[in-house]
Amino acid sequence: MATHLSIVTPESPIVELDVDSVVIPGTEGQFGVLAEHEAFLAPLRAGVVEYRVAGETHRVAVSGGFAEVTQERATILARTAEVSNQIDRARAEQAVDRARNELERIGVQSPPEEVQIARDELDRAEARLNAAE
Amino acid sequence: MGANLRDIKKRIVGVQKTQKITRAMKMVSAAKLARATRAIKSARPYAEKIQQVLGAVSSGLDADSHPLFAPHENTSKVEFVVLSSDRGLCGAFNANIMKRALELMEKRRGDAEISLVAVGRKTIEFFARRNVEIGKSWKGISQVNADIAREIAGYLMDRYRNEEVDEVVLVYSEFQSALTQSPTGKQLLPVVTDESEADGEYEIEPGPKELLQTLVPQAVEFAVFRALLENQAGEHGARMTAMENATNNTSELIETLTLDFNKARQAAITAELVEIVSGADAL
Repeated sequence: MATHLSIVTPESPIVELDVDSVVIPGTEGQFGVLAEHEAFLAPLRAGVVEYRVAGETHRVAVSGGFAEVTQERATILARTAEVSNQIDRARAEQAVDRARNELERIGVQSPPEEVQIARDELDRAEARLNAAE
Repeated sequence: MGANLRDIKKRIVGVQKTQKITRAMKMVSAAKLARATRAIKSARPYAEKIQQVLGAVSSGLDADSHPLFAPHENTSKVEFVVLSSDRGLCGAFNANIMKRALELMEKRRGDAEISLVAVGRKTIEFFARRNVEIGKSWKGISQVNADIAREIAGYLMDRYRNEEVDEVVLVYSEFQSALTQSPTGKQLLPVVTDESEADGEYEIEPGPKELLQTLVPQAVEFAVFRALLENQAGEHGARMTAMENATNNTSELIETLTLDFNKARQAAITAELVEIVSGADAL
């Protein structure tokens, strides 16, 4: 039995199909979902959602939001989501460098909120790079 | 007589040019409306899910489980966020929103201090003319996207968290169809949840409070995004209707003017004939 996976952002549905399994980046660590999973909710961190369908693995970079899992479906409501083949690897690398420099530039003396914003940015950039093909 | 004929001809040509513009604007608005309604449709799955999950998670919790749920002790400061379009030529679209905003503000003026956030050039102009102070404004949003919604929502949530405001009301135009948009006021903060949407029990990891940390801001951002989308669709719908009417009016005007032109032309010919005949008689 398959799990129905949907990944939606406010702007549009990104993924909508039946999958064999899916791995979701929760704030408490990654978790895998197979059919008949217990119903639960978890917030997400910036990372990569990996799902397997017909023996092939697909990746989607997501940031922010949460996942809802029930016995027959997994729904991810993300702030942003990008399918791996739509990510430009070179640009993703640049974004990671930029974010890393920014984090170094503001340094540790800055207010914690600013450091957090820069760190989040780096996490998002890294997630996109990891998802890129 | 000849001068009169030329004047009428000039006016006909002028009105025809106007008609070309209104017709083109109508087509452009129709295309933009199609895109805007598609955007609303794409947002629907997200809307349903977030309502349902928010209802399910909050049903077992107290209002003080998240700062954006909890009403402040007294609601003496109400912030109105009034959405409008940047451009005019869309009939009474903006005027209706402003009217609604003024009504809602009037109702609260007795027991609360009112502040204003303007989104869209028309709101800014309207309240500037009335010398109403605008706390913060956005304009030039050519295409609604989630980023701009996040920015506006972030500003409002910060204000609420810092107790600079006790209630935030969104005033915008709800999109029903190209012909009808209804201006509405909707409470954005504190967040109101609909627990009747809740279905099923969930295991929540790490816990409901942690989940609400992401869920509630996300829902507020989405509410703003939704309002922006509906307003955008309404604007294009209203403009399409207005331009349709304008095009019809120019057609009517061209018809009347053509009739006048023909009458004048006939009169001129008759006058000329009379001159020739009376000239011949004189010989």
